[in-house]
Amino acid sequence: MRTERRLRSLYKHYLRVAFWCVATVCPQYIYAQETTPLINSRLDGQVLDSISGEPLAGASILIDGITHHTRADKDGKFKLITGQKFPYTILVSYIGYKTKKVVVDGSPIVVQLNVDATQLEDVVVVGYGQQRKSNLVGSVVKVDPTNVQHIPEASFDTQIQGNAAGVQISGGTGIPGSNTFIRIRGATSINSSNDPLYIVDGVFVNNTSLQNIEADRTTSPLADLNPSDIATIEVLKDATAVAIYGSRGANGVIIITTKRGSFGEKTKINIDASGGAGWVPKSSWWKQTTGPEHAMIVEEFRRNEGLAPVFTADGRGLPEDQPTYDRQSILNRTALYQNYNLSFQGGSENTSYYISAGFNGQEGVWKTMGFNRTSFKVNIDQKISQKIRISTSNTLSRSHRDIGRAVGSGGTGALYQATVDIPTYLPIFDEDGKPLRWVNFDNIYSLTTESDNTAVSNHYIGALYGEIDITPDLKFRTSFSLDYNLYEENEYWNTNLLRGIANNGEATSSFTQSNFWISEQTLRYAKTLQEKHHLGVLLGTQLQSSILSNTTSRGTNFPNNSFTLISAAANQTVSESWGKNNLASFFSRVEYNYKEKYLFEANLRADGSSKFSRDERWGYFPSVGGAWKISEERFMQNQHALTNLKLRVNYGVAGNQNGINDFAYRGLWTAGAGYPDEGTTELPGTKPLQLANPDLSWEKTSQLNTGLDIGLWGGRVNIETNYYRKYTTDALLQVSVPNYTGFKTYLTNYGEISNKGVEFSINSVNLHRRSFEWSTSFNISRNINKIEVLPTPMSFEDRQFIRIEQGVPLYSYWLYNFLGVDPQTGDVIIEDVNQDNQITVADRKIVGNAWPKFFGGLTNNFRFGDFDAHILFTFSYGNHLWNHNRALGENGGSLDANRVIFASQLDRWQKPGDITDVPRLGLKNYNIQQLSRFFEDASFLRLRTLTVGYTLPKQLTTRYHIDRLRIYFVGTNLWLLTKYTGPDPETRIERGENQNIQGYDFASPPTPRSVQFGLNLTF
Amino acid sequence: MFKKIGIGLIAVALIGCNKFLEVEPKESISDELAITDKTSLNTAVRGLYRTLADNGYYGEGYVNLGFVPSGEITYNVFNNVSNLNFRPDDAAFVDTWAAIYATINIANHIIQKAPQVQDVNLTDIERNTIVGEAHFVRALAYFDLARGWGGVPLKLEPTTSLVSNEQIARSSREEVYAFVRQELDLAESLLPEEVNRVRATKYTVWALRARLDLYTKNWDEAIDYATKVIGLTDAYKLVKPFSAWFSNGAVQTPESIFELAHSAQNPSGLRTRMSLLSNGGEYRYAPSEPVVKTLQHPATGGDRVALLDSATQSGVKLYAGALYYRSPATDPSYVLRIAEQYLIRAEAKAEIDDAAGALSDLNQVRERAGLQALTTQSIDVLKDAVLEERRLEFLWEAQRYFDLARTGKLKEKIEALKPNLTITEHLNLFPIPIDEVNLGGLKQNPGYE
Repeated sequence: MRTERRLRSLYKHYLRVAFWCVATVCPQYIYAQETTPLINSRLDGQVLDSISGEPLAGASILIDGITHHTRADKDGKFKLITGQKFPYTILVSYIGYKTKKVVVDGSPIVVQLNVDATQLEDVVVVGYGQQRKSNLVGSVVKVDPTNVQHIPEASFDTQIQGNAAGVQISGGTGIPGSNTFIRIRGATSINSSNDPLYIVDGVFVNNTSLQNIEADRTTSPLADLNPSDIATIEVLKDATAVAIYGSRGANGVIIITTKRGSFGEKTKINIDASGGAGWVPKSSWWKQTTGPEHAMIVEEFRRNEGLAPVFTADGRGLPEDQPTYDRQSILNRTALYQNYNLSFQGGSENTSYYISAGFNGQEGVWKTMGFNRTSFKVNIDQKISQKIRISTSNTLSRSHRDIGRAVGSGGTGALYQATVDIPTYLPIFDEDGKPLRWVNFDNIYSLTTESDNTAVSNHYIGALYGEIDITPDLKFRTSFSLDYNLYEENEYWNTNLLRGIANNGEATSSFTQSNFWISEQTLRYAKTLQEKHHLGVLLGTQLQSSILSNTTSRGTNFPNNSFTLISAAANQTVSESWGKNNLASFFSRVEYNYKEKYLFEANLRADGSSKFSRDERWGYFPSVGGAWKISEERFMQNQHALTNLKLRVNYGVAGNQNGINDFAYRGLWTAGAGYPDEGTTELPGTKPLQLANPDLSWEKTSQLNTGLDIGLWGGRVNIETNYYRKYTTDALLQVSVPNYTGFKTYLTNYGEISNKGVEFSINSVNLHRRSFEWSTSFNISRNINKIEVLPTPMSFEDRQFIRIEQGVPLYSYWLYNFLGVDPQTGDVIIEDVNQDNQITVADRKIVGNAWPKFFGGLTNNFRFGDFDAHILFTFSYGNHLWNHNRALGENGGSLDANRVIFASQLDRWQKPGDITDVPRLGLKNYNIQQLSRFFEDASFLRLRTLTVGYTLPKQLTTRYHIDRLRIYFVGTNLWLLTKYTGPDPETRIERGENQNIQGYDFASPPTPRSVQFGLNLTF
Repeated sequence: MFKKIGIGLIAVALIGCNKFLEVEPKESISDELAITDKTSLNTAVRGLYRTLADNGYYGEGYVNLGFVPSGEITYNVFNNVSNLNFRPDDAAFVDTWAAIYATINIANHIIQKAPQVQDVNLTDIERNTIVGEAHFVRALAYFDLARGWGGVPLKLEPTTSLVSNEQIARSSREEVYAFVRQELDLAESLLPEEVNRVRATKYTVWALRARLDLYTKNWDEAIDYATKVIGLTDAYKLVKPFSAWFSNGAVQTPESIFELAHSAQNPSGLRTRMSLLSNGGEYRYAPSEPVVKTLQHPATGGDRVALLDSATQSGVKLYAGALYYRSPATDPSYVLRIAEQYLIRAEAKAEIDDAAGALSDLNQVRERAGLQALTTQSIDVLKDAVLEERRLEFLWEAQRYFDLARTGKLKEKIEALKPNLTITEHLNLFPIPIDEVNLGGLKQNPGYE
């Protein structure tokens, strides 16, 4: 039954098309049936699933040889009143089931259909249309979000981790509603975006964070979409699949289709409610030294350096007398989750609708962080006449975030630093219970109780479409769509917090508006000639315009802590920013196949961008591809095991200009550099901002994909394999220039990057019995990223941990190679790369990178009677993380009372013969932080989610007019296997401003472990 | 056929679309429009000063390089500069170098474009003043580079595109100082004689000239120029008490010959890093124990104890700098003060064996700081006394490291304060930032290769 539900949702689109066909092509026969005076037979029947016995509502019944046709109602029942005499033959078909031919000789009958597990009739959404999966030339993965939508991540793209081969997704950061790290077939760019294009019901949706205050706390606008409104998610990966999106397609495309009603469908009301809790297990907290241990390490360091002791009886007290205080218990909490959805789905003869409302609340496992979303969805399809249809999709949501800052420069307002970085022997409160501040950090109690920091996103995503059948073969479609997001941030720091003390109260208020519209016209022609030549042509134009503007006001110097609005501040400043870019495009596609055996597809798109100068702005992006269904050949017909064998090859070019500045090619001066002419009154001033580059143009990525699809035993097992090679040229690159030019970087087209990889996925129906079903999906991918051409190496981060240079992958770490600790002296041994007997910057080298050698997911679905279970494991092997927390926490005691010392420091070398990785305490062993010993293997295997559900027997529920009642349990991150010493091997720093900083674990809350219970009701 | 139609469509649309694809920026303006008339020339000059006061340069970065590697500072966070562990990949050097050259680039723009500006409202005097200011700032920037890094590349043309980007080799330190002298001569001829403590005037040029002559050991000229500035008694004087030039929110006091203004919009970075937590700072570093003791002792510290702030936290007394303390951080960046002119003249007089003259200048500064006058006649004692006076007078300004490096006392003084450090000869120069070596083809300073 679970499978049926899945299939039903998978085929919703095909269903709609089918109904259109029924409604627009066949009605004359239906009317003919009703008016026919000649009645020779009456047939009552019912169509059921052969295994579950569920009625198949909407199944099609056709009398063989003539076009007399009807459909089953919601109980699977149908009537045929015809002039035909018994016996006659009917064809009974239903999407996802094998069509059955039945000879009828008398009424009533029951027809049982078998599930067709081949998936070959799967319809997938591709750019500007749909295709049957069996006829695909490109590589498209279809993901059913149903099973993962209860993972406590706000954004659907994080939830589908492990479900699609070739799609690398990091499991979030433990900050609800934060952005997602996603790479489809590797990373193609250094300075323009590596994120895929997201399309929701035809609307291109902005996925970059609009956070303006402390913009490194990136949030995801995709979290504004309610995952339970999503019907299917398609990931387009190769050149043929993405070429129709031209300049937007180089990093892959993710198409989201939301739920819609069906014509003539009885209204279905669905209620889903769930709640639960998440937490970080204490074993995953950072392990700090106790007070006495901290003092002991500091004293040992001072002894070794010849410095006087500081933990003395008449000073701070002897080391062994030091107390220990626990700040992590103040920061952590059990986060509560709640999720409610209500939807109405149905349709009349000419109208269909899907209307839903949802609320989702997620607390963070660290105090002050939280996310909640209220969302509405209205999708309507209306037939105006037989030839004209209009549709609309609308999402309106309000996402509220309580923002907590995990890490900050200098530590003001930073949760991690106020918690973990302070030595544990220092008290949290004084004798009177007043919060104490230490080092240069806030008090964690004050920070978690007094911070006032929110972001609210009011987000509308909508589109209006019209479609006209000019002739039965030629369709014109026009659409206008809008992605509007008003992102409002407010923060106030009172004088109990450092930021507030610094400025006698500080408030910032920021309004960011992202206004993005698309107007699109397409003409589609489809024709089948002689039942073997299938031709399809698509022509289209598109205009896109994006405006991003911001107004920020800031106030300092407040009368007292009761005044929190900027109007009360003595000093007020305002700033404003504005950027706009336009894109004009023309695109075309030709599809041809011969007997659905030899398939061919070609695409061409031209894009013009306002980001480039007049001479450089147009880019042309072609692709060609073909597929050969070998299994359709005559010589394969005697094969029984191998039911499908298809070879796919395609090649194409896509572009990229996303993520670069709107006015990137111009030489610009900026204002805001005011200075007095005399006295103190500032007058306006200007200064150079960026260097001109009139030759700036598109970054281009070519991609070759070879794939083989194999179906075995009538589709019980399906295997898809792909090999691809992507090659990016003219990479948009902020080239470092000698700083004596007055500039640090310069944006140009320079550099080449390659991604090569293989993907393997297998779906198998292991058991399909009446009372027991078991299916398995497994996918594994490998991507090899390499910077092929780069003029000069470039480093990122203050300490320049991350470096890109020719011949190594992106996200490579440039460190001093730690060889060990000398057992005799306890001194650190660093590889002397240039063998000049001294350790200088010339001895830094690339020691590894953040990419996994391979990654993937394993899903098992079970149904046992009325119980169902879903188990998803995700894994990654060979990826490394820079454990910055540990690099700072093992400071050798040199920072005395100013920094925490991690418990791992206790393994230090103490006497000759000690074998350890932690050097003898002393300045010279701890003056280099960029040591490879903190670059750790972060391979993992994680039980990402486990769902168990129970559907109450129908006999019980129908009594209360309930179609279906299911209760379920969802657990996430219940089990983790990793060697990584930090709390979470998938964690990463929030550094929205530089995408090249990856694999960097600094002060992020780990992904929580969670349990939730829920209830799903359908009327 | 469809492709042909497609291409035809594209051809037609290309023309129509170009208008749709022209989007003009609002926040910024194109290079060509940056300096065209009097107004835009004036805004560019203000941008020049703002860049000079940038957090990479006088707003924080360069000032830190002046006082942090002195043995007087203990960092509360990981920091290599305070331990004189200079590294070519350290952001402290990389960012400061870049900020100085960004300043030079604007000066180059103004020097090149100002003579071409056609505007009836722009008088010759105004034009000369602007060009003179640009020459002064360029002189200051190259002086600051030379005293830190030694010889540096002399970039004298504005950078507008990278087509003109050929590599420039390092000139020698002497060549750079000679260039600075030439720039100051030009500026002197162009600038008016007037008092403006936040912009360059002829007086400002004299004050920097005195410092340059001190660094290049032109003792007589140093004395001449310092005397000229000290002689402007209506404009500049040693304000009393010592703290009068910075405390209680004071700005642009007669003490200042040249200071850079900061505002709520453009705050100084120094204050955030220096101030105690209780004053809303990050308290990243503290004055070391010896200098705290020296300042606290009335006989050695006098009124200069005002340069220290302190707080008691759970029974532990913490010390911090007190020169940059305001909220919002409108603390000026002090570039040239009258006290320095006295000390320059004292040092130069001592070098030419004029003990009485040296003692007189030194004692004026000591007296202002609330200290006993010295009476020694020994030239060696006097030279040391001037250096010690500079140590305390400029504790939080861009002076101490450069003083120690130019007098050859880096090793002696720092090892005395921090016995666990070993100071080697190469530390008298900063390392050239790594990218400048790799990309710019510059030769690294010895000891950092």
